[in-house]
Amino acid sequence: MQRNISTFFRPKSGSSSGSQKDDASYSSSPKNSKEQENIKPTPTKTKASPAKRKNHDTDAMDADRADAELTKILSKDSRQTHPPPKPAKRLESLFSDNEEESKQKSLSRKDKDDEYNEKAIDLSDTDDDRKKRKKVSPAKPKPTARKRKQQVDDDDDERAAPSKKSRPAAVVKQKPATEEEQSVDEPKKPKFNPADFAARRAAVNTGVCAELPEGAPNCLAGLAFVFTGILGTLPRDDGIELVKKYGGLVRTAPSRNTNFVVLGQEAGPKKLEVIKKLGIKTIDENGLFDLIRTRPENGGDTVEGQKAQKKAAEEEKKIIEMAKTIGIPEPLAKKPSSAKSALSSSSSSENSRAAKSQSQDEQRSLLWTDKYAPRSLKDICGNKGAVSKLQKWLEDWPANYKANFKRPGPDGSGIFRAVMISGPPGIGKTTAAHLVANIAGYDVIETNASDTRSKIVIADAFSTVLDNKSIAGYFGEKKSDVDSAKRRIVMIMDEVDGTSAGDRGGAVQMSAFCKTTHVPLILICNDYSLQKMRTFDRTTFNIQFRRPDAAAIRSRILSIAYREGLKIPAPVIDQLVQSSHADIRQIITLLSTFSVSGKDMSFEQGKKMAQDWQKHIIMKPFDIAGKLLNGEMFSSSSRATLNDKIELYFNDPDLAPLMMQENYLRTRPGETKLQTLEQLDRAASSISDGDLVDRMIHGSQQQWSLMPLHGVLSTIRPASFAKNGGSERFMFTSWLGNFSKGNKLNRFLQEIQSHARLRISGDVHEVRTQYMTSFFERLYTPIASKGSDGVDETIGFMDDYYLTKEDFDAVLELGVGPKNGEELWKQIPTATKTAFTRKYNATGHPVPYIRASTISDPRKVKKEVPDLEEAMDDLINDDAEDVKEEINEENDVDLSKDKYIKKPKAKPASKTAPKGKGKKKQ
Amino acid sequence: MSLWVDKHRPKSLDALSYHSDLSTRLSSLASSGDFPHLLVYGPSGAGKKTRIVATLKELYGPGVNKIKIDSRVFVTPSNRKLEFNVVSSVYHMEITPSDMGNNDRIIIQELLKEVAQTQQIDLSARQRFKVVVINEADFLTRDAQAALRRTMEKYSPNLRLILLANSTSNIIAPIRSRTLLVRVAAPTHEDIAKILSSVAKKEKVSLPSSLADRIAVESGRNLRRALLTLESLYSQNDLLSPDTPIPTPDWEIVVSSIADDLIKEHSAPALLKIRAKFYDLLSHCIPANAILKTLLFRLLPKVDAELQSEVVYWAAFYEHRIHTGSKVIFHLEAFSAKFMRIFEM
Repeated sequence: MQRNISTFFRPKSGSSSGSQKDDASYSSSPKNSKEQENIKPTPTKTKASPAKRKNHDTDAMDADRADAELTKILSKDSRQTHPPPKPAKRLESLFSDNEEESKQKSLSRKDKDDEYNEKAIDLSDTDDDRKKRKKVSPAKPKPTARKRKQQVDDDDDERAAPSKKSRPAAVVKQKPATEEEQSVDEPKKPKFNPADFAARRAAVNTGVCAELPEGAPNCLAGLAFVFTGILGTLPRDDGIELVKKYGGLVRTAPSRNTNFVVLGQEAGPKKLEVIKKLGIKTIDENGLFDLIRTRPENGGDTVEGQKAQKKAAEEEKKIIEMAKTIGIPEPLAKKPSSAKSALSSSSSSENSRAAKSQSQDEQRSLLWTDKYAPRSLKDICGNKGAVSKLQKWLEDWPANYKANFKRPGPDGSGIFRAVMISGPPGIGKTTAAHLVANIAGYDVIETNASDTRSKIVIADAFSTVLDNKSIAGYFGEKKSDVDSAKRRIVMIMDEVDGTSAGDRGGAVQMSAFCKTTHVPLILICNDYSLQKMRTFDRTTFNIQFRRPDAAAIRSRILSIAYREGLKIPAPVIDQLVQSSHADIRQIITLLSTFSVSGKDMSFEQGKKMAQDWQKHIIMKPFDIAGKLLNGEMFSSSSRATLNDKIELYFNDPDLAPLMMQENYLRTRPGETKLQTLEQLDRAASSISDGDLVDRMIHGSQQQWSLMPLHGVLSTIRPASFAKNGGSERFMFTSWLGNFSKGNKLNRFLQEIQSHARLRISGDVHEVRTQYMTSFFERLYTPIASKGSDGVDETIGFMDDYYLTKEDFDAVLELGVGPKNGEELWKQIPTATKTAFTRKYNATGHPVPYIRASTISDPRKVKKEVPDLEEAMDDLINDDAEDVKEEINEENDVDLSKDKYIKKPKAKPASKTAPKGKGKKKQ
Repeated sequence: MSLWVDKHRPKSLDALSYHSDLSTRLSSLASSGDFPHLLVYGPSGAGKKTRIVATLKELYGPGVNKIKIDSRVFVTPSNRKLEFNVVSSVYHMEITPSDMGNNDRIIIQELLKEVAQTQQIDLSARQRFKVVVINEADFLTRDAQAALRRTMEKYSPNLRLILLANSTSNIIAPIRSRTLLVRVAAPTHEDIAKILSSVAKKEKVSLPSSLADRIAVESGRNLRRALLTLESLYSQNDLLSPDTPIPTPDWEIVVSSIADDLIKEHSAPALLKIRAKFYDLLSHCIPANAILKTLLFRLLPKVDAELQSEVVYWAAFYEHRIHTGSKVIFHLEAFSAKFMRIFEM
């Protein structure tokens, strides 16, 4: 049946020649098919898009309806708001027949309603959804979709095809199909018909995830592929997976070593250039499928295949070799942490048989992660440089200690008594630290997050430990051991960043010890960028461990698998590495779990398992914006459901909308100018809708259940309009910066208004929009035009309006455009500016108010009843009331209420005295 | 030295030169001894505040002109300390709770109660009650307005409120029903021209009447703006002639440049440029609705007549959203995008 389908598809989707031809025609067939691909689907698409847009227009313009839509969205149940995004195939299995039928009825009844609703959401992927829903209603998606396509394309050759395709179990499904036909038979209008359009769209992607080709195992061995552009029918991730499954390599950028480029639409121009230059063969997805179907196992006797086979054979040999050496040498399993044993693993014969059998029991109960923990430095996967750095530091430690840590040494590690190892979990930091310490002949004292590590505990425990010597070595079996075993100790503090609330002050204390310790300290943490790790910046030598690449892990894992008798192909391992983010520990644990149930892991099993075990990683705002805007997410071949997209928003619901708002204008969504503008307009108005929802969430109503809607309106919907590959680099949102700047200036403005309040009548907005120009003129112009002579005039005006020097700066800062005061102020000669500042500081200035900070406990100062009336008089006739902000009292005037008096006994000062001079100067 | 607009502000109701029937009503209200809560509304620069201050003087005598500014500290439920400026005389108090943003409810509750629960001690005072003037009442949050309504009734023996607003639409109905609504309409062009001439006369400046008329028109019936314009014209030019160009405020220049951009180029990069200008204006404290309104009036002469109604429709649409939403830039941008689109079509 598969064959049928593929033959059926072939003339349409352009994979015409592939399967019939033999190996030799590869070079021609891909190109051929590519051309077809390029010619065929595009016209249908372009035909479709204007019609689609027209349809959107009519309702987009109708604002009343838009409101109604919004309420509708709100009231609809979740299933309708987020249309079931799963492909029809899966839905089929979900619904029983009865349910399905009733559903069809309700669907057809509510057809209009539904479409309306869809328009309301108006995502570009509603097209997909619509298509999918169509698929639900006839419950037999492919034939109908194809039929429609026939109608549209008038493709005579295909007439007989549906009967070929009909499935045996199509009893129930037949009915809706006829229903469909009737609906299709409706007179065709020249006007846009959504169903029609959906069908055409469906026609373009009939191949979506339909039939991935089955090929001989490992048939792509030795071939390197590059994927670029958006493939018409195959999501790129799936394509990559497919290639990997069959043993091919996938590279990100084309190079001389690339065998094939799988080319989709809208590929980057740079890449195309490179491809052309290097003369790499380009194929489309159908070419790839053909390749897989026709190539022999293990690449056959082609050049690449043989090379790959040879390489694989070598690798296997190495793995078997390695498998012999790894793991705990059985007799020594008893003391796994002993460095001595690790070094002398080959000399196991000394030990007794009894110990051997006992250790075998023990070994069975050991975790694989312990069993196969690295026993020597060369066993550690990746991070060779970091490990050798660590080793060197530890070896040099005694010498540096003697030199009192004054000599930095070539890598600068000589001045540190402690190192900090940082890196993601599961890549062997702790193992490396232990191993290095053992090899260098140290005994290890370890503390980790299971110990309390507050300031006091650390101070207590460490001071006793830090100049101790280990006595472990005195109990060696041979006399000669004793000497070498008068060993020193090394402290390993694991999980330093895992300090919790109970460990207050621990980090600081530890960092203090790092400066004085008499034994080497190795600190280990996951995230060195954390704020609380800053205290270690000066005191420790930072060594970063990175995730090892798949190749480094692969051989190790393969040898473990070999030892345990598991059969796992290399591509599966690569996949595990990828999905676990190179966490070796997790992979080993996963394998150990798997070993209970079976011995042979297939690609699919591996994929499923890796997915189940996948670590949840929160995406960064940039990644979210990139993922949504690069066009692939909303392309016809994308399998991302609406839920997947909403999930992206929930990675960072605060920043994702802002990033979208910042970057949607950096894309090129439409082909013509008007189309572009339409798309931008839709995106912008959707963002505007989203803000209203945001207000409902974060405003007084706190309707948090609207979060998904907010995600759709603010992030996903705009992306669906503005998709199509941002060419520019994505920027971080500028909203935050502008918001805080606005807040700052608003504060200044309030200050100005409150100071000038006694003279003016307006509120802050009126001050900004109306007064500010005049303020600027009266303050700036005298200085600008008359230089130092204008200073008096400016200061006079400031005093008149009770403006302070800060207010003066704020007035300058508040100007926009041509009156951007900061720019203009820069043009004033420095001499004038200094003259102004000096003059201002030299004289006293009136302030119209009393600082709030002077409010103190009224009980302290209930001496006398203040004379309010007089105070008021004086404040109003305040010709030169010398009330400074700092020294806020003029004693001959009993100015304020008792609680405002800070220093009741302050002596009167002469008015001209330069009181605040020192303080005011900047 | 102070600006003319402040120097020549009338201090009493008799001195007010326009809306004389309103002035007489206010003065009779003040002398009746039964002074109600007031909600004074009208556009900016119409003379609301001036009228209120004059009314207060009518109520209490010249004592109300002796004002001072206090800074008070309030503690929010979340233990944040808020500094708040209170302008007060012995008889009255003037507050702007909207300065505190979402915390304005606390000011209303704490401060008003404190004032309301203390009696007037000055036995010689003409009125038994104190007056609290609330500025920007239309910017009060719903919570604050709700907090206000009971206070207004409960403490009426000790307290009278005068609310100042630009429009009553944001003020909840219960408050509107508890107050006497006083509308202060913007002065007519003639009123403004008359006042401009009289100020010019007092300042001994020769002001051609045609220029006065032009300033009045240009100011959009905003007396404050007209007076400020007059003064800056005077300071920039030695001699005022009928055709002296009238300067526009800095932010309006930027808005005009946005309008030009909108007409000139329609593309994503152009929108980005316009966004930067919007951000500039907003971060410099220009209110979003003022931006949109000015932008609209700059755009209208430049578009065809049949497009005008649509542009106005969308401007109104997004102006409403500016009030209902929270991130104003989104709506300004959406308006720009919409304009580009309908202009291109």
